[in-house]
Amino acid sequence: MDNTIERGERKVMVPAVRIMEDESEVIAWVEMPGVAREGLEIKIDGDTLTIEGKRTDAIPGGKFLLRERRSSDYRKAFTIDESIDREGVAADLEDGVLTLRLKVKEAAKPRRIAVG
Amino acid sequence: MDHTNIVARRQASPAALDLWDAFDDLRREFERSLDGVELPDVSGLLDWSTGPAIDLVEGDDEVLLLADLPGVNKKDFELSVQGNLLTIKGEKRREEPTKSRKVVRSETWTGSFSRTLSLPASVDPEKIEAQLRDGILRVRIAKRDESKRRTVQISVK
Repeated sequence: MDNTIERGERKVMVPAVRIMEDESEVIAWVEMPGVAREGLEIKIDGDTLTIEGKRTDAIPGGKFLLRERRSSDYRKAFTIDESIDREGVAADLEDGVLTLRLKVKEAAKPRRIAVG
Repeated sequence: MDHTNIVARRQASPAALDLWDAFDDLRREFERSLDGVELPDVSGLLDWSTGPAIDLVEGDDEVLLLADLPGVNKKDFELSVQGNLLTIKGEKRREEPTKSRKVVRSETWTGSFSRTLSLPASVDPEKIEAQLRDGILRVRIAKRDESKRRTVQISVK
């Protein structure tokens, strides 16, 4: 037995994000504690990449002696421009963190010209 | 809806665009803080972003501790109890930038963390169960039998 109650009206919040990039790829880490694989949805529509994370963890019921956490679902939209290869998006969810790897199109990579 | 341009490099002035994003996030954050969320009274206003956020909830039969620990692996985490003091500590790792790979945006906390909480007198610190799953730590501490809520039927004559 667990002292939890059903999740009521669903609210969304913006997850914390860390983004790194180099010449060939952009990597984003999206923190979504409480989201399992089945609750995660990633969509690309035109130049918008949307992440939705529905939580599956139970909300506790009882008297809160300390309350700092939020238990809303997550939603975040990224704008991706033409330099990103739509087919080269990889996603991995582990320990409540989604890792997104976006490949930069060959044509958009900087070219080095050798000086002869 | 929240939009972040994931490719800062393509913008003529990425800093300016990101600033609007940051303002937007801040506004939402503020609105949320007024929306039924109780601010912790044990820490400063913005302390939640420098370590794991914690809930401590007292139920009828047990006390539940929940902590948001996204990206924290079991092997980097430690839970200990001494008397009625419970301590969680560990390390939240992340990929560090290199010469060619730069950080474009960073909204999360990282590094080592440690928090100690005093448990209510009603619990039995010998009966603890902990689970770390999907970035959430869930610790169940049973209450002492005499502290459990009981309904006693009293017959009225």
